[in-house]
Amino acid sequence: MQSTNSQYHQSDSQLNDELTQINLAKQNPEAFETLYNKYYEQIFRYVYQRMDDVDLARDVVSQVFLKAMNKLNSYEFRGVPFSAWLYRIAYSELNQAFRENSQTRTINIESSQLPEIELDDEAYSYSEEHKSALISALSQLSEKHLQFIEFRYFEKRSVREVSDIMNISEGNVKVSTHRALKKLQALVIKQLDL
Amino acid sequence: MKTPKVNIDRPHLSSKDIQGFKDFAALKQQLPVTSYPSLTSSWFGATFAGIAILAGIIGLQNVSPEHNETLPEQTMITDNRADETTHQNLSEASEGVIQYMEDIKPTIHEYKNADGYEFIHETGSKITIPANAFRNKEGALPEDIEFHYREFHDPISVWMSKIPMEYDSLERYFFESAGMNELRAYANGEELELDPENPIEISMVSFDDSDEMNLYALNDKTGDWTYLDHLPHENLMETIHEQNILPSHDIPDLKHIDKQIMALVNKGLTKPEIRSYNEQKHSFDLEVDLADYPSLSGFKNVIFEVVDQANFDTKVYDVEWSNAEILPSGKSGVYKLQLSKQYQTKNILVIPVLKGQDLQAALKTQEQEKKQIQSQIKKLQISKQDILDHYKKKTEQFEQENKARVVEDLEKLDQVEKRLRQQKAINYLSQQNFQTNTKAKSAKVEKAVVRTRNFFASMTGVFNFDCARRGPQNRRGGRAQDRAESDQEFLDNKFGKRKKVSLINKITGATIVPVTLFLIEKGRNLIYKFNKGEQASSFAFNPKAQNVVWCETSDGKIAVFRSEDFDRLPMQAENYELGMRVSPEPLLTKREIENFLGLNTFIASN
Repeated sequence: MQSTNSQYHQSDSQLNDELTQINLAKQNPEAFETLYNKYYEQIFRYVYQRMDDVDLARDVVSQVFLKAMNKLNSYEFRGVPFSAWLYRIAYSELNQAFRENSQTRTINIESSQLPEIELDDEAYSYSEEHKSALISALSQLSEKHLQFIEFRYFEKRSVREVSDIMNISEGNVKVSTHRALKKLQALVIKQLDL
Repeated sequence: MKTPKVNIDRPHLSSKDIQGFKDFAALKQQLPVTSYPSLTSSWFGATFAGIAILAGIIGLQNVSPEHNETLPEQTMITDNRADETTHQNLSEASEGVIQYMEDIKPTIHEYKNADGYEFIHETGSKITIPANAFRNKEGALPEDIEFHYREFHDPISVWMSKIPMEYDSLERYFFESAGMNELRAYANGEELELDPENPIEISMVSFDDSDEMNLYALNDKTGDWTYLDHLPHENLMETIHEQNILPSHDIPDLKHIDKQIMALVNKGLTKPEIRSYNEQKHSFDLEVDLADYPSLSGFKNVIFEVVDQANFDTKVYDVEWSNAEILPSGKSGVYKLQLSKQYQTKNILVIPVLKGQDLQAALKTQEQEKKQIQSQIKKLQISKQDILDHYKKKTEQFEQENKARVVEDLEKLDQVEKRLRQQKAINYLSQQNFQTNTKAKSAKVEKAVVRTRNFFASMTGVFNFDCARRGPQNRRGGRAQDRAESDQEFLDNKFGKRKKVSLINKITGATIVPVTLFLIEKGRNLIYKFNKGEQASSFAFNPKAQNVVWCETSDGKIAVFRSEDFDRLPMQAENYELGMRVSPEPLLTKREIENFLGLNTFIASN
C-alpha cells in the first residue's frame, strides 16, 4: 500500500479559514503573504522535483505565485482546493519553461523509491541491472506518463490530489497511472531484453 | 521536449533551505498596480448576511478587513451584494439585449410582512416566507412587501439574463445548471434585506437529476459565485411526511377487579392449614360453634391442638372450666383458646386439627374451595384482560381510524399541492423549447419526473444549483477531423493541428466576425462561450452531440448555425465554413430567439 501526502488534505474548518484568507487576499495583496508562506515549500518542491537547478526553480516558483496573485480574483472555490489551483499554475509554468527549452526537464529519483514502483513482472528483481533499466525506461516515458509515475510513486500524492491537479477524474487518474506503469514495464522489458 | 535528465539521490533540500528562498516583498513589486480592486470599494464589508442550508450548513468564516475581527456565527457568509446600485436586475445593469428581459421578468407578489407569505411559482416551486422576514436598511419592518421571484431552467433564459455562467481560472469552466432562481423584496421602492434569522424556505423544481450539483450564491457586483453546499434532490411526488398528531387515550379503571382478585387471594390465604390430629400432642376437644369463624367453616369436630406443647401445663385439664371460647389470635391459622371460670381466665394458643373422616372431608372441602377461588380469580383476570383487550382494540381502532383520516387528509392536502406543483412543472416544461437534463428528456413531457432542490435562503439574490464543466465533451477525445477551431480570431494552437472555422452569412456570403460565439448541446442546460481574442477560448464542439451555435451581429441581429446544419457539415473538410442564417431583424422575445435558433425542432427530433 502506498503512503500519501497528508499535507494536501484539509478539514472543513481549515478549508473555510483558507477561503477567508483568499477573500482577504483578493482585496489586499498584502494578505496573500499568508498563502504564499503556506504553500511556497510545497510548490517549490513540486517544481524543483522536475528541474535541475535551484535558481531556475526559484524563478519558476516566483512566476507561479505572481500568476496566482494576478489571477486570484478569478479563483472560485468549486470543490478544488487552493493548493490544487496553485499546482495547476505550476504545471502550466513548468510546461511553458520546458516548451521554451529554457530549462531541462529533470527526473529526480531517490533510489529507495524505485522498489515502490509496482511493476507487474515476476522477472523483474530490482537488481542493479534492473534498476538501471528502470531508470532508463523512466527517461523514455512520455511526459504524460512520467507525470503520473512522479505524482503517485515519487511524490506519494493521492488519486484525489492528482485528480485535482490534473483536472481529470479520479478514475482517469487510476487508468492513466495503470497505463503509465504498463508502458514503463514494456520499456524495462525492452531494456533488459527479457 | 528533450529527453529528460535523470538525477539519482540528488542532495536533499531542507525546509529551512527552501524557506530561505522566499521573497514576498520582491514578488509584490512585480505585481501590476491595477491587479487588485480598491480597498475602499463600497460594497465590501458593508453588510453581512447568512445562508442557512436545509440539509447541512457550511460555515464560511469571514473577516472584515476594516474591523479585522472574526464573525462569531459560523453560518455567516459575506453578502457582497449589498450595494444599492447592483440590486437592480443583473441583465438590466448589463450591456446588451435589455429588451429580452420582458420575457424573463420576475413574478411580483404583494403581501403583509407581518403575515408571511407562501406561494407556488409557475414552475411548481414552492416558496415559504416567514412573518417579518424583511427589513429596510434602518432595520425597521416595513408593512407592505413587494416580493420579486423568477427562475431560470433553460440556457436561453440564462443567456438573456446575462447572469455570468462561466469562470476563467487557468482554464475556462461553464456552469451546467440544475435550476437557478432570483429573489428580491422591495418596500416603497427600496430594496429590502432578508433577516438571516428568518430564512425563506425554497423548494425549487429541478428538471435535472444529477447528484453533482452544488448550491452557489451570486455576488451581483463582482459576478463571482460563492459555494454554499452540496444538497441532494428529491422526487416531488415521493416526499410525503406523516405527522404524528393522534390523541392518546386513557386505559379504563380496573381497580375494582383488582380488589376482587385480592379479596379472593386473601380468602384463600386466610384458610388455616388443615393439620392432622396427633394424639401424642396436647389438645382440646371442644364443642365450639364455628359459625363465627368463616375460616373454620365446613370443618366438623375440630380439635384444637396446643401450639406450645413444651410449656403447656397439663393441670389445665384438671380444672373444670365454665366457659371455653375460640378467639382470633391475630396470627393466621392460630387461635386463642380462652378458658374461664368465675374470676379465672386462661389463654392458650391453639391450632385446629382434624382426624379421621373429618380430616378427609375437610381436605376435600378445602381443595374444592381453593379451586373455586382460583377459578374466580381466573375469571376475574380474564375479565380484566378482556377489558384491557377491548380498550386496546378500541384504542387501536380509534387511532387507526383517526390516523388514516389524518394521514389521508394530510396526504390529500400534500398530494393536491404536489400534484398542482407537478402539473405546473410539467406545463412549464412542455412550454419550453429546450428540455433540460431530466431523465425524461427523451420521453413524453407528461411523464417527466419532477424533482425538487430544497434550501433555506437567508439573504436575497441569485442562487444556482450547478456544476462547473470544461469545454464540450469529446472535443479532445474525438477523431482529429472532428475537432474544430475557429478562424484566426479564435485560433489556439495549443492542441496542434487544427481546422479553421469561418462564419459567413449564408445568403450574402459576407464574413461574420462575432465578439462571442455561443454553443448549446441538446439535453444540457449550459452555454459554452468562445470569446474573440481569448487564447483559452478556442471554439470546439462535441461531434457526438446535437449542437446549435449562434452569435450576435454588430447590428443586433442573431446569426445561427442550427443542429440540422451541423448534420450537413462535411467532417472530412480541411476547414469548416459555417453558413449562418441571420435573422432579418433583431429578435425581441425568448420565443422568437428559440424559434430562430431552431430549438423547437430540437425537441421534435427526439
